[in-house]
Amino acid sequence: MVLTEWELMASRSSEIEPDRNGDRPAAMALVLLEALAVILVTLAVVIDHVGGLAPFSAWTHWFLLAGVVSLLLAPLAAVIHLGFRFAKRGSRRCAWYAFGTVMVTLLGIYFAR
Amino acid sequence: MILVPGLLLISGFEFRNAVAASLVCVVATSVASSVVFVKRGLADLPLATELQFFTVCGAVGGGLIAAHIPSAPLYLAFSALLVYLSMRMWPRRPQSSGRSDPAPAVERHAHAAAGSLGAGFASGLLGIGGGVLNMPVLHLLLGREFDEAVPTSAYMIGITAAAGALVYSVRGDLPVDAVGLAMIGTLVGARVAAYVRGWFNQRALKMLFVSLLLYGAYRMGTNGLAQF
Repeated sequence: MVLTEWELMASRSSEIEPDRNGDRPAAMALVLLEALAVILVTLAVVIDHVGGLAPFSAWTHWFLLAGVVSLLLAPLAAVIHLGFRFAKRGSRRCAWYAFGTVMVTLLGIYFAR
Repeated sequence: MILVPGLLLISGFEFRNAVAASLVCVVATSVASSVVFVKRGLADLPLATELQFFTVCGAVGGGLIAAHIPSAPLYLAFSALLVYLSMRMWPRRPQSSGRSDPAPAVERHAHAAAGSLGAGFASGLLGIGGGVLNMPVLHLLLGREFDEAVPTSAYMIGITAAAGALVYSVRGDLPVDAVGLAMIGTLVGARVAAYVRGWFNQRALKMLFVSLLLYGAYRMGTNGLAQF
């Protein structure tokens, strides 16, 4: 019997058990980049609204931009970490999906320019 | 879901700017909840990793196509989505889960991939999280229980919205100055809402939210028709 690619994928998917132990490094990546984003954005808002900090107002836009970019990179960082982790555990298909996700995002950025 | 109509109808944003700002706020809420779900192992990460590839493909495609679609059809699509959501959220008696006999694994995986692609496309085009489409895929198609499907969907939403938001931001459609405040407001609002959730009658809250959705659908629909 010749199996199609989908049939192979479906048969293999049952072999991968959900991980009940969690993933601390991925969670740390998420929480650190989120915290950085919140700090940068809050700093920008404070500079914008406190009169005494007016000399730094030129930096506001860059703080905001860095904060937003930091937030948007948080899920990507988690996906990259999980890709390496799956590869290390032998779940090559999941690793390929994780790196494929990152590649598609980069291609989207390239075509959006 | 109510951020895009809010930014469009109250703040007077362009459709693409509102979608980009909404996507950033979706990432903020998703990351905040995913931290707990990923750390405690509540999300099915292998399954999420598979499906998120398709949602990200859809989100990137939706984000790229959005630049070439006039606003009027997007307003009407969003209006239709709000009507659909208000119908689903309408308070009713609890029913059975509605799961049908399981289809063959191959068919289910093909449907799940297609559903995830659609959820990502809707997310990238309209600035929504995509959870409303991810949940039926995880629960009805792949047979995951709600307490597993919700964390998995919440994790998937983050990377999907981030991919869409990156496309918008590189194209220059992201209003960075407005997004900062919206992001902080969303994060604070999500935590306050989680804290005070039990203080209110759930049915009344649902009715209020459905009314808001229907009003948003009406305003978005009339705005869309006016632009034709």
